[in-house]
Amino acid sequence: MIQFTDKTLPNGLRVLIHEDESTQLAAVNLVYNVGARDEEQDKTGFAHLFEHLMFGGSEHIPDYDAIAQAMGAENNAFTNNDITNYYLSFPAYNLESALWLESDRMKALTLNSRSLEVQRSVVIEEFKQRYLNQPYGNVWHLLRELCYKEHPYQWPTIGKNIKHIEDATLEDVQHFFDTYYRPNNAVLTVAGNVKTYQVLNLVERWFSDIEPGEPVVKSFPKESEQTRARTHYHYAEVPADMIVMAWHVPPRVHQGYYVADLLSDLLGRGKSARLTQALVKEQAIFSNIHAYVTGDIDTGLLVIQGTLLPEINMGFAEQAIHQELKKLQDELITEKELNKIRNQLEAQKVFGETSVLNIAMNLGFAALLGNPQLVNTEIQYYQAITPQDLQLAAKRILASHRTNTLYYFSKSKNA
Amino acid sequence: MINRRQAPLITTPDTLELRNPEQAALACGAPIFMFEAGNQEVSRIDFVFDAGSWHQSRPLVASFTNKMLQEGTTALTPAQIADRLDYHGAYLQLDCSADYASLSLYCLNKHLDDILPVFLSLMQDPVFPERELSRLAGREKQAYMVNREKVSFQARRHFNRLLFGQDHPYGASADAEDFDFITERADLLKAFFETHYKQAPLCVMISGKDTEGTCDRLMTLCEDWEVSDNPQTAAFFTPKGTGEQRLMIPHPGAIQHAIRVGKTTIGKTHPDYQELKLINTLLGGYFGSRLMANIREDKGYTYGINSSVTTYRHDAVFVVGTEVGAAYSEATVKEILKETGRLCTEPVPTDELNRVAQYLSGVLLSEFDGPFALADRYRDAFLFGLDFDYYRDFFHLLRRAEPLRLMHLAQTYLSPDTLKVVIVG
Repeated sequence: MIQFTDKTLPNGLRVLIHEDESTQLAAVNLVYNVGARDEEQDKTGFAHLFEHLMFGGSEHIPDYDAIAQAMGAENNAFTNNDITNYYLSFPAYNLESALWLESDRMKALTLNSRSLEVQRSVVIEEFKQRYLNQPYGNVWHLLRELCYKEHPYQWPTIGKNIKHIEDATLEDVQHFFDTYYRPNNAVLTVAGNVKTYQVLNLVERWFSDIEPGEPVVKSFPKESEQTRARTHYHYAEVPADMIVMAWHVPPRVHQGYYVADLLSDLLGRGKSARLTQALVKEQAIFSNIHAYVTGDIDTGLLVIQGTLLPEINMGFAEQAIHQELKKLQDELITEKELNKIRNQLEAQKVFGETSVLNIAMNLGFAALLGNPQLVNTEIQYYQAITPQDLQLAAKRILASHRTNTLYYFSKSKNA
Repeated sequence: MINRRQAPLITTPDTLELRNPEQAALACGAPIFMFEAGNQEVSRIDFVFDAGSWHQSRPLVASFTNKMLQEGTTALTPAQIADRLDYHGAYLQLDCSADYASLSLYCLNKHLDDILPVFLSLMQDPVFPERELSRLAGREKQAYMVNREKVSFQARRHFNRLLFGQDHPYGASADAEDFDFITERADLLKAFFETHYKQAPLCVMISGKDTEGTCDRLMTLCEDWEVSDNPQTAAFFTPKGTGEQRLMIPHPGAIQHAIRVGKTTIGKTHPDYQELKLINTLLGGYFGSRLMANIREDKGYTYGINSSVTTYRHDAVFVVGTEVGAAYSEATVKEILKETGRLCTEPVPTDELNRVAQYLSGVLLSEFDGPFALADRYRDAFLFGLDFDYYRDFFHLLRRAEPLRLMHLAQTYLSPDTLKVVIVG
């Protein structure tokens, strides 16, 4: 059970505090409710580019990293389709410095063309390193485009293409900051060897003079229900064929999400999971196969992704996956298998709670979803799922007319 | 109104408080170290064997022996092993490097009674089934085929070969044919197991909560574990670098080049090593390093660049690594050599040195946070005949490092004309 205090400052900043005396560290996590889904479709990659600019200094702290390093902090940030998350982990007695750093860049980030030019160039190299110069690096570009026709999840966080990053202007950047980087659009979590009352005092000291912004109204085009199967064929210079299949799953806070997550666990969690046992170990069709849900706030995806062994043809591999899915649709799973998944989830939760940074991130995201208590109660949603629920979800979610399939062919193998 | 220009006071820890681990031993003689910490009822147990690729006669034998430990025992099929572990939410991690091989178990304490016997059977009674071996080889070969498309993989490989030569365990790497060869050679794995896993483990680490209780259980379960008394003899290899100073490996279609710049150097037990570590941190060992500031934050050539000093059992390597836009690779190498040269000719400014010392002091606390981290750090020291004093010494060094001495050490160990360069792209 994670104990925490939950307060909201008058300017709208939500603050969560969790005490843990077993560590000498503290973690500060600041999550902004903005991600790639908030971008316009001709200006993609922007939320992530902006994350880089957040390290360029603020009005009273020209060098963010120098302070973070002096206080002995490990710090970084990540952006996904929904959120932008900043975090520091450091010796607990330096808490005030962490709050000074985060409050100053929320209050008055320094935006200039020099910083924009350099980070633009860094992000372009990141684009190349992670997406263009890696075998299968563009899988998510292709898959998102295939699965989403309306919702902005149709592009990945890095952006649709390098051109959008090249075109970003200082005005765009300033506008983005003014719109989204406001206290009323953020959740601050402090976890570790701290005292709640002290944290509250310090947070009020450093954050309460920051002006709130206009409330951000989120209205994304809803992805229409898929009525027929979609496919995409791609050929690239890769050594082996790959198949990626994806189905829409309910939004993150929907009960149906948890059922979908459990379905993906049955298929792909651990070495004993169904797809691994049947298709990697027994039938030797894939060299590896994974199943997981994306966990997006809006309609997400359940993904199955497998790399085919050299002598296997694509149609055969696809059939083999469908057969495993059919078993889930036709037969109730046993209590024993369900217990296995429950035990795995319990272990994952307990091991996850060994890190205060992890706790801070989870609390922040749960608050952003609307309820920080989710860190304690979500496990009950999973425990309540029955074999019947799973069978029903397998039929509904994994229906053949809702399937999106990306056939990623090796050019040389299929020459 | 708060004065935002007034920075809050930053505190740097003045001591590194580390409690030495409790110790015990298995009947076979293996030392056990216990790291009691944290709030959660969890454990991690590591067994480390002297079974790295240093001892193998053919490529892949050591790593495949290690991987195959979970592919069937006298009592359990691979599927049963996977099922038993997963059913209890337990998680297994197998590792094999040039020097060591290990098995680690992550488990909730309440399931230890069910899982410990299974875990131990993996290292005591594996059977190396042929079907599993050939399938593993097929999968690993394919993973290798994918990896070799990556410029970073090729750069690492060619750099190690350049330093040590292909016949040295630290310079050798497997090729596609090696995976085909190993497919039908379960006999080699069995022989490797007989020689290198039937020795007492080098050490056993227990970390988490109730480590003493777990230790008692392990000792009881291992009472009858028979190991060989014959001392293990290891072949000795001399590094035979290829002698080239600079290597350019073409990689058609690459839009980024992977770069490695470095050399062999002194290891953990050398008296100058900790200062070399400090110099390395200044150069490329953290986000604010000189290489990051210059090549990423000033020039924007790369998403990331770093340098490291890695100690092997019989050698050590200093290396700078990065991936940069194809047009920037020559300029990047030039800057790397310039920054290394600057360490040899200019004393580090005091404020920069203080900042790095402050950073490392704070980060040391994180590096010892929680039971698993404690076990990791201790193991890193113990395998070189050291203990927590090694880190306490480093902590003190951070307070008395001298710019002039660091400059002289840089001249001794990092002189730019001694560095070898590999570019793939």
